[in-house]
Formats: sequence, C-alpha cells, structure tokens
Amino acid sequence: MQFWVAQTLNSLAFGGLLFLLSSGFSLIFGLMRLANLTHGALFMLGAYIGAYLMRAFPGTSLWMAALASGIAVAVFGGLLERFVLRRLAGNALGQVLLTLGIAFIISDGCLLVFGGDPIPLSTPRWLARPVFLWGFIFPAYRLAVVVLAVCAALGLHILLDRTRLGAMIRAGVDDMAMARAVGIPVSAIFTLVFCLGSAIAGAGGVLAGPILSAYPGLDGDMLPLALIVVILGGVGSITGAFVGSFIIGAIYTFGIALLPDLAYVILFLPMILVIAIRPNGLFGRMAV
Amino acid sequence: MATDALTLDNVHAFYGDSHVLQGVSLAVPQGQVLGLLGRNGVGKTTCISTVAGMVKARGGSIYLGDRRIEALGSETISRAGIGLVPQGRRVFPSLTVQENLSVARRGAKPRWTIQTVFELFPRLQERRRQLAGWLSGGEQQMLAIGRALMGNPTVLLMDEPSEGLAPLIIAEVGRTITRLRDEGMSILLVEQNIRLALELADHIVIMSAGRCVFSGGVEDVRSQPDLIETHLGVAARRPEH
Ligand SMILES: Nc1ncnc2c1ncn2[C@@H]1O[C@H](COP(=O)(O)OP(=O)(O)OP(=O)(O)O)[C@@H](O)[C@H]1O
Ligand SMILES: [Mg+2]
Repeated sequence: MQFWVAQTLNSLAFGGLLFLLSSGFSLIFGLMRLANLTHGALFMLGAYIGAYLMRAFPGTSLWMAALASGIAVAVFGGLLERFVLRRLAGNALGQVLLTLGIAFIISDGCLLVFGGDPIPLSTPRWLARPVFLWGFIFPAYRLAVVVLAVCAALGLHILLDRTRLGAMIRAGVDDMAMARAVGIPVSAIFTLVFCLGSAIAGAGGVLAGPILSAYPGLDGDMLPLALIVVILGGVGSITGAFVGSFIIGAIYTFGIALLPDLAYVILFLPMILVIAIRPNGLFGRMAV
Repeated sequence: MATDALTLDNVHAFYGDSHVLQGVSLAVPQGQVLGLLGRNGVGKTTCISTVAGMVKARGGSIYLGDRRIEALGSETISRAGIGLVPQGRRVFPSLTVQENLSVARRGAKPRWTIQTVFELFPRLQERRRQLAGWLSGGEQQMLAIGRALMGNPTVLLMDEPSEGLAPLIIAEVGRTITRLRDEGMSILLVEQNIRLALELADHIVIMSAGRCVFSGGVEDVRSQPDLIETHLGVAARRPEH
C-alpha cells in the first residue's frame, strides 16, 4: 500500500514538473506555430543556474535560486526569440534545426562548465522531512511541487482567460494575421510569451533539482515528454498541458516502476491513440 | 481639392509568381462610400488585404490621407486609422464577444467604445459573454464591424459584409453602413450584391483581372446595363428588382 501511495505522489510531483516545462512549450507552439526544441535545454539550463547559485552563494534558498534562474532564462529566451528565431518566421524546418542546434549548444556548454556528474539541489530544510498523514509517509517537498504547479496553472489560467493581454494572446493563436490587422502588437506579444515560457521552464528546472538533479541529458529526457504532453493535451491549451502533464507523469512513473522495459511503449501508445482519434489533442483546436 | 481619405495609385501585388493586382488606382473621398465590384477572383480581397498590409504591395503607392502606408506592417496600418471588416468575418472564435471588442480597443477619447458598439448592435450586448465562434453569421458580421470600429478608424475596409446573410440582416448591415457614412466615415465597400452596392455607394469602381476597368457614379452604372453584364457576370436587370 505504501508503494502505491508513494508512487502516486511521485507521479503527481513529476506531473507538476512536466507542467512547468510543457505549459510554456505549448503556449509558444500555439501562438507562434513554433516547436521550440530548445525548451528542454532551457529547463536544464535553469537547473544548472540554480545549482550554481546555491553553490556559489551559500545561504541562497531553492526559492531564491528558482526566481533568479527563471529571470535569467527568461532573458535568454527573449533574446533568442527577438534576435534569432524571428528571422526564421514562417520557415518551420529552419526553426526546428535552429532550436535543436541551440539545444545541443546549451547542453554541451553545460557539460563543459559543470562537468558530467549529476548535481543535486538541496531541498529546503523545512520540506526535507517526510510528513505522516493517515498512516502513510509523504515526502513533503513533492507535495510542495504539486502545490506550486497548481498555483502556476491557476496563474496562467487567470492571465490567459481573465486579462486583456491574455485575450490578445488567444486572438493571436486564433488568427495571427487578423490579430495584427486589428492592431494587436503581435510581435511584442511573441517576445513576451517566449520570455514567460522560458521563465517557467527555467524556474521549473530549479524546482526539479531536488528530485531529478541537474545532469547532462536532463534536456533530452524531458523534451520528448513535453512533446507528448502537448500532443495529448492539445497545442496552446493550458488546461490541456495541465491534464496531459499529470496523465503522462502517472504513466511514466508507474511505467518505470512496474514495467521498466516497456516504459516508453506505454508512454507513446496513448499519444498514438490520441493522434489517431483526436488529432487536435484532448483540449486543442489546432492540428499539430 | 481636399485629399481623399484613401488613395491607391498604380498598386501591384503578387501571390508568389501570380500577378494579382496589376496596377490598381482608386480613391475613397472623405466621408463617402466607394463600392468596389467585380467577379469572383478578380482581386477585390487582395486589394483590401494590400491596403490593410496583410499582402505586401510590390509597386505603386497607398495613401491614408496624405500619409504613405504601403510599406508599413498591418499593426501600424491599423493604428494609423484603417479598420478592416474582412471577408468571412474572421472574428476570434475562442474569445467572447466582449473580448473580441476589447482586444481591438484604441484611442484616447474614442467615439467607439464597447459601450457605443453595444448601442449600435444591442444584440451583441445580449451575447457579450458568449464565445464568438458560436454566434450566428449575422451576429459575427456585426461583431466584425464592431471590432473594426473599436480601433476608431478614419477609413473602413469592408469585404462583402452581406455574404451569406439573410435579407433582413443584410438590410440591417446596410443601415449600419449608411449610418457610419453619415457620421463622416470613409468606406471602401467590396460587394457582390450589386443592388446593395448601388444603394449604399456614392461611387463605383469595377475591377476585372487585377485592374480597374470602370470608375464612375452610381447613375452611370445603372444607365449602362451592359457594363454590369460584361464585368459582373449577371444579366442586366433593373436595379429596382
Ligand atoms: N493566398 C493566396 N495564395 C495564392 N493565390 C491567391 C491567394 N488568395 C487569392 N489568390 C488568387 O488571387 C486571385 C484574386 O483573389 P481575391 O481573393 O483577391 O479575389 P476576389 O475578387 O476577392 O474574389 P471573391 O469575389 O471570390 O472574394 C484569385 O485568382 C485567387 O485564386
Ligand atoms: Mg474576395
């Protein structure tokens, strides 16, 4: 019984981390029709920046590190969009190659600077102790990750659904040319959304640190999962990214625990089903 | 002579290699309605899209008042004072009625606000929390007009606003156009409904194969049934019919 409870919480925490990665990926994909293959690398970069900050400035809390790293990665993402990706607007193949190339550069750069050994990020002390509830043991930090992911989802939901800026972003997703033609500053909104998605990924990488550690290959492990989440949930949909993240988090966690040899089969099977039956994903309006 | 509200001078536009606008020249005088007619595929929508900056002009010039706009992006053109009511309406389907209007809001002391648009189209107010994608065709057309007005333009581009609408709704759209004109709005109106166009327009331009082949008053068109037959592809009928 403890096994199931523990794995359930693990899967929820992993789903929460996936959401921090895939929400930005989905927003960027939906608005800019751009599969940003750098997104996994931004997550890893975030984790490494957090690890560096906590090592270089002892006393830096994980939260401070997540905040600082989120800002740094947002700036990086904004510059990337503004000065590099924008030149390739409309050139899908070019964008795929470029974002993939930048992902490789980031991961080699991290390897060069931080070396090949995993760097665990320390859990905040007050969350390091397990919590006992109803006779079961819960790692407190994983609970906190779930709570944070839910808060991020609520924040994004309010931004997108309740504000004028959010309506402008959705208008751009619906019909970009028309959005420009009614005077919505679509280019500025692109940069903003890219910064936002990068920030969440960067901060998410730091929050993943105590669970996954910062290690070479973190980007490549996470990116395919984000892709599956977005295909499952639907491009550009925050609700879809949220639901998809927890579904994939559960399938992945239980798959590895129960059928380690088949984990990837179990993971990709639902994606194939979804593409066959609902090509727009569970909550999406746009074909991938 | 006062400058016209909108002037196209020898405008050329392409889709890839296909030369769709082959030197279009026309002018919308201040506070008047210019009806732009022509068969399917002659380039009317392309003409409107080029003015709105959604298709780049590859020759010629476009003036909004005396400001040259053909090289500007469509965001800037919209901000300069051009409102677009596109063919097929193209409301933002996943935004509510109110959001469709609010994203287009602009102007310091604007004539058009969400409130005044709702006064113009009370039906939109009743449906303001509804997703635009679920509106009827007529309601979507009103929303598209309202959305264009929210930018407080000086020139309105309307591409077949009567397309696919029931006669009663067409009449309402027609009354709206007349009302906007009477308030001083300059309007470039593309219409396939020739009767409606002749009723609403002060001036008519007929396009054929990417060029303007006729420009004149409404009465000139009425008195030349063969003109209608040749260029508009309908048997000449008395317009009153
Ligand atoms: N996006 C596009 N790419 C390539 N060709 C296009 C495109 N849009 C229109 N065309 C072509 O350009 C020509 C002019 O099209 P346009 O839409 O301007 O005609 P129109 O006069 O508005 O016709 P309609 O009355 O049917 O709306 C047509 O031959 C059309 O096939
Ligand atoms: Mg047309």
